Amino acid sequence: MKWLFKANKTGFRFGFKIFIPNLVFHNIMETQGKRFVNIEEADIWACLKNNDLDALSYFFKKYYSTLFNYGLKINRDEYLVEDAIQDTFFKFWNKRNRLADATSPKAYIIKSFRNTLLEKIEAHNKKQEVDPFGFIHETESVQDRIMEDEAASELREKMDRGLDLLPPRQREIIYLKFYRNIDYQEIADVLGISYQSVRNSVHVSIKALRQILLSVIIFIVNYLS
Amino acid sequence: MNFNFEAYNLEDLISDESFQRWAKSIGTIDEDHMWNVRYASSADMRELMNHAKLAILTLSRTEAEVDPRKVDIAWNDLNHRINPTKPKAPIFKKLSFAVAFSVLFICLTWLVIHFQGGNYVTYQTGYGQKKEIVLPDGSQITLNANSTLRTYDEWDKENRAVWLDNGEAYFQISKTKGKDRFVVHSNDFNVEVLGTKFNINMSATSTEVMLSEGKIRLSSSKENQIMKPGQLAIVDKSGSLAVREVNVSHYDAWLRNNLVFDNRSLTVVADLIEAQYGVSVYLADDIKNKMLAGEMPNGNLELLLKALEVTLDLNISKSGDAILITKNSP
Repeated sequence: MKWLFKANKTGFRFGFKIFIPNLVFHNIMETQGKRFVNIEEADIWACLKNNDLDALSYFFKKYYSTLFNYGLKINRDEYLVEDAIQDTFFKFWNKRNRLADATSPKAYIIKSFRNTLLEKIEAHNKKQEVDPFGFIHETESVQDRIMEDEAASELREKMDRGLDLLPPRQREIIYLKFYRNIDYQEIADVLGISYQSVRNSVHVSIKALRQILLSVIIFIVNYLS
Repeated sequence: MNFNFEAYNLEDLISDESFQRWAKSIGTIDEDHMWNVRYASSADMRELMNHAKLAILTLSRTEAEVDPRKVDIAWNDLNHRINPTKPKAPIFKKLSFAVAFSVLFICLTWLVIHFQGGNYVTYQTGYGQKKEIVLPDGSQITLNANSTLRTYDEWDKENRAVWLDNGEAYFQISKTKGKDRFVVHSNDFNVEVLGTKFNINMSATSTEVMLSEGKIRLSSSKENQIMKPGQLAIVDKSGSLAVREVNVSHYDAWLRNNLVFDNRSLTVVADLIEAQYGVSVYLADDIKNKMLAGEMPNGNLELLLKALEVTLDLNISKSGDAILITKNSP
């Protein structure tokens, strides 16, 4: 059933339309990677404000994974999340000359992305119930490799249920802090709350998870001894 | 620093950023030193810190990074959106060498394609013809009459792609284990899918994409849109997108050898007949805006014309490849 029909030599014109930009952009990507080595992100952000497309590319590529994973925690729809990333950076470029100075471009980017995504979700699912930050425990824990037996998976489930019981905002902060390694100050910027509230929120969450954490700790200690 | 061990409990330690860095071994030398001193200070402190460290490692999970190739593709999409026509001049100046190289490469590619006849496999249908294509991944494509579709001659499992150059086609794309993308390229837009069923119909002025199942992303030079089942997107030549809900069965009726019109003007019907049967249809001015709704038999021109004649009370005469449609004068 494979390839029954002869190639038609007149049809290749269309192929070029797709080929030309792809090749050109690919070359751009390869050359720009070296430009921003050892440069503060705030300075790269200034480059972006100064019409530097390479700077946009730098941030896009650097934070794509972070935004994608974070977005999937807010909404499971991969396409919606990808679109929100595109729109976020598209907006940055369109209003690049009016962008605020960002001491932490990271926090600013994550914050803008979060807002864009939430707007998109609202526009898209007007009828459906939205459950932002409904789940965060689909990824593998560092400890998963240690705890491989049944008792361990039971504990893991307990841990997941514990996380589920946290209010969404607390869960989101735990995610940003412990999964994505983002500083308290940056989390505060992203969520538009104070440093102290972020810290307190983590403290409260840990307190709520205390019993589960302790049983995990005891399990590991026994396992290792 | 005055440090009160008793007052420092598990929650405090776990929520301390400096301690988190120590637990993950990513702290500065000074930080490490400070915590190591505390660690050595007493057995109780040691136990507390060990427990807090385990708790942090339990809470911390590493997420998979997005495949860099996927990020590159996403960046290309964005670039395309920023510069729909051509990239900005300064970039080109900087990269004139790269561009020259690319052009050379394209020329070479073209030469290779031209003289070896390789790289693409083209599927074409003539007037009144239909063709079923099964791709190596199990995806099925049905080509309607007078349509052209191309694929790479060497199937790339991870970057599944076809080019619809003209005409109409119905796609039944199978999902792969690796959730690999399938992209339908056309002149004005790209359709990106995971696994789904949809129809694309290209005409001179616009292209219609109808989704029957699953989810696809349409991206033209201007816009980017996720489509849901039962939606029809109309992309015009400028790249503008308009989406509305439609009756799916009207758009895949041609698969069942039927033509379905939901209030289409005779002009549209005439275009369709021309595209499908390779004839020229001439419409009298006073009936051009007459609307047609209903299902018509397809596959046989005579039968179709007869049905049209009766339904709309028209007079249809045929000479060779020319068809003249006028009002039926009493």
